[in-house]
Parts: sequence; structure tokens; C-alpha cells
Amino acid sequence: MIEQACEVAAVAPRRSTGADMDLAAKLAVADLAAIADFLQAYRPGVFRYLSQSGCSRDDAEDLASQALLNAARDIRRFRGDGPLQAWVFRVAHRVLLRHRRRERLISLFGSRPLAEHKENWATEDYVVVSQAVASLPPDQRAAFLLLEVEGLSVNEAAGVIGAPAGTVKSRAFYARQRLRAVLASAYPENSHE
Amino acid sequence: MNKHQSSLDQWVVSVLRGAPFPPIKESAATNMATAIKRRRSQPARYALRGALALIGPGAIAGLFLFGRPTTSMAALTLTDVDRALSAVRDVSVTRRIATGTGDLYTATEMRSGKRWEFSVVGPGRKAVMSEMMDGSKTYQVAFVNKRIWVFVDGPTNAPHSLRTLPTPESFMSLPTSIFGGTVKANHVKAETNVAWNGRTVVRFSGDQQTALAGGTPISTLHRVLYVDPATRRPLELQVSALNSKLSETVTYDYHPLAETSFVADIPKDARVIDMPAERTAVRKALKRDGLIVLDEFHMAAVFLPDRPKIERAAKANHVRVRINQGPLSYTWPQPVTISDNGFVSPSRRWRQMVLYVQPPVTNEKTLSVGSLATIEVNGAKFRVPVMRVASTQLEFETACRWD
Repeated sequence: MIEQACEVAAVAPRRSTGADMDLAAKLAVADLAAIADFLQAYRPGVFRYLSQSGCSRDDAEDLASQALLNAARDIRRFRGDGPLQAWVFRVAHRVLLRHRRRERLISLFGSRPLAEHKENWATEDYVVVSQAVASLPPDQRAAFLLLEVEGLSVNEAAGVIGAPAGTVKSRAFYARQRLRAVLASAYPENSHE
Repeated sequence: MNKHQSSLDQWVVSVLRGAPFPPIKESAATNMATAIKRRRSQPARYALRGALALIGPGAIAGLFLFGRPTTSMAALTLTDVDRALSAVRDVSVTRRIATGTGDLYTATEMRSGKRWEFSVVGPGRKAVMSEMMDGSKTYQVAFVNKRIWVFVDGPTNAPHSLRTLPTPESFMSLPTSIFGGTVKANHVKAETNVAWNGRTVVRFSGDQQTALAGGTPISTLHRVLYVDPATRRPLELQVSALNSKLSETVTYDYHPLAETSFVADIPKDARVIDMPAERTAVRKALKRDGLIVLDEFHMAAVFLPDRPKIERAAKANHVRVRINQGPLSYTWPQPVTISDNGFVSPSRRWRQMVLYVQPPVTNEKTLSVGSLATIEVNGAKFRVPVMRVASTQLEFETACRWD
């Protein structure tokens, strides 16, 4: 049932600045077709980024909706200095940080119940890779996900995370090194360069 | 594709990108359109905000020109206020905290000599937790999932971090751990002869900008502290975030506290945990078998007794862990210390190795608290008991307890 209710995630297409501005302008007037286009293009990536950043699947779904809603509501602030994708991820990253602060606050006042896991669809590959990614330090994980999985440039990822470009680059490098070390023994057929 | 990517990297990326995601609800687009339209239909509020922005500086300039209140940087400092507060024997502090989500928490802290009490009431006047030291024993009452736990321990000092009495000076340099990011240097303004609640007080005020490491601003906190100039004691502290619902008001009271204020009131249906006995059990289990502790996010920490094997595993850079014959996990051993007060914390000193493992979601039912689990670490098998841990204020501090 869950398998039927899921779609396969895709990477947001790289649009030209003009196309981004066009989409932003349509979003600002609540054009339904533009909103559908916006959700279709950015929801998979944002959901993937949040779910791989230590959020449960349910939390990631809620936070992705919140992030995209925030982005669409504040779309007038998008000035077209960079791609819309990077701007959306910046909003999502902020939502993630807020969520983590809230979780930390909740942990001050008591524990929370165990999350219900419903990931029956997860393949063995996905479980192994997710665990390896989850074991990365949060900074390295964010850099790796934005650069490698979501395809942002170093400068764009730096803008999202709020760290210098060189730092993001080195974090992604160490993340790749650690993932190779962890996953090489599990999948030797993939370890050759 | 990145030029630095190996075929393994490409495989990792393709696995992550190929994972399914929940479908977009049909109502999502229309809900979003409504939210955008609602934002567009708020020009009146923005216009008012603009007017206030214009009026505000004018009002401040007017106050400055007329010289009320007077500004003096010499008379009283925050350090004096901190010193006066710490010299007080009896004090009650009430903190009203509005979180970013709009929930209201009330934290009350009383202190009389070495005795202290701290309690938190959440939204809807619901008790969240309370902690008390009556001079000989410490009682920590936690309300979790409609169950009440009472942890009884020996005498302790009032815990640090958020649960300490917020001294004015420390509060004026709020810990960044709460709001995240870095804090810009703060300039505190002191004003004397300020009329407040029918009395003349000293007012300290300042703004504080919190930002991410790269400089991206998160929020601006505005803080005002009212101090009695005669006793130099704080009276009230107000904190508000300019672009968030987050706010806090701290009220100080210096009336003498009766001894009856520090008598433990243990609810009848509470489960009482004897912490010294728990510690003995943990140490015994560690010495004999090792153990698994689960936190509330279902993260398992595996403590193992056989140091040489784990040392060898650590040299292998990473280890393979299998719990109850489930799928393999990969992790790095980390040295930790289990201190005398029962906390587990990261340590450079090699005392105990821990493997943090996220058990596969498909395997969660195989780990039940109170039972024995089979752990396979790089081929070596262990039978270890499973415990639960309750996180406290810090990410790495966890108090162990049997469930």
C-alpha cells in the first residue's frame, strides 16, 4: 500500500534565471499551475534532504510542506541572484534548524514517544546507504546531500548552510571519504574507481 | 555528475535519488494558493509596521532630547547585579517562556541556602517536570506519556544549563545553544531613575543578533532588565525576539522561603527509581556482559565489555554491527566515560567504548527493553541486556535507567 502511495524522487531540473523569475512571478500571484509546477520540481529534493538529515519520514513530510509553503509565501523576497532551487533549499535548511532547536527544547522537558516507522518500501541498498549517511556528522552530511545528491554548486550549498565555500567543499570531501570507507566493504563491486 | 565522484559515490547518489517519496496531496496546491493570497492581503499590517518604524526612532530621539530617563554607565554594572543575586539566601524566580510555536511554559525555581526546587508547567497548565533537593536527597519527577517517573538520588547542586537560576549577566549573554549560531557582540545600555511599576529602578537594555556561522541572521533578541538600585537585586527581566514568537519574562521575589517549600510530593502512581541502585546495576552489566541502551529516537548505544576486541575493531576504522541477526550496520567506535553521577559523556580518556547504531527500522521489534540481545561486532558475538536512556539537557548526556 505504501509502495503504491509513493513516487520516485527526482532531482529538480536546472532552470535558467529567466525561467526561475517567471515561476516566482507566477507564484507571487498564486497561479495554481505554477504552484503545481513548483511542488513537482522542488518537493522531492526538499523531502529527501530533510529525511536524510536525521528527521523521521513523517517529520520530513511535514517539514518539507512547511518549507515549501514558507518559500512560496515569501517568494517576493527571491531576487534571482542565484537559482530558485538554492533559495528553496535555504528556506528548507532554516526550517530544519528550527525543527532541531524545537526538538532540543522538547528534550529539556521530557522524552517523546518512539516514532512509528512505516518504511516497508525501503530496499536493502537504501537502508545500508541511509545508515551510512546518517552516521556522518551533521555538517558533513548537509554538505554531501546538497552538493552530491541535490546537485547544488559549492557556492550555492555554502549559501544554504551559511558556511564559507571552502569549508563546504572540505566537508563534502570528508563525507565522501567516510562513506567510501563504510560502504566499500559492504559493496566491494562498487568500490573500484 | 561531480568530477570527484567514484562509481561508489554515484551508486550512493543513485540509491538516494531513487528512493520513493510520499505523493503530493491534491489539496496542497490550493492550500498553498490560499496561504499566498492571505499573505498578499495583509498590506494594512505592513503599512502599520512601516509607520511604527518611522514613529519609533522619533520617539526614541524625543526621549533622548528631553533627557528622560537619564543615561549613566558608571553607577551600576551587571556584574554588581549578578553578585547581589548570588549573595541572596532566599529567592523565587518565575520564568514565563513563550516558544517559537506559541506554546507557553512556566518554569519556577526556588532557592534557600543549599536547598532548591525547579518545576516546569507546559501549555494548559500541564506539569512537565519538577526537580527538588531537600538538603539530603534529590527528587526528579518526569511526566512521560501519561506516566510519572521519580528519580531519587543523593544531594546535588542545582543543575547547570537552562535549569540554573538565570543570573542577569549570564542571561544578557544568552547561550547560543538555545538559539543556534553565533552571537554578535552586545552593547548593554544602563539607565537610572526609570519609573517602573510605581518605583524608581535602573534599567539595562540591549539587542543581540544571533546568526549562523556564515553570518546569516536568525533573530534579534531584545532584552530589558529592571534592577532595584538600593539592593542591586534584579526585579524583572524581559526577553523578546523581534522576528519570532519566542519571548521570556523572568520575575524575581526575595521573600523568605519556609522549610515546607522543600518537601517532596511524590504522586501515588509514580514509579520511583533509585538512582544509586541503577548505577550499580549498570556497572555490573558493563563489567559482565556489556549492554545496549536505547534513546527516545530509537538510537542504540552498544557498550561492550571486551576492550581488546573493540580496540582492534577501532583500528579497522569502522566496525560492522549486527543486532539480533538483523541487517548489518556500519559505525565507528567512540570512547565515552560513564561518570559517577550516572551520565554518559564523550571523553578522550579511554574508559569505555560505545558504538552508536541506528537499528534498521524493519528490525525494531527485535529489541525489547529488559531482554537480552545478541550483538555481533566484526564477527565477535555478545549477549547483552537492553536498557532505555532518558536524554537530559545536553545531546551527549544520557542518564541510564532500567525500564
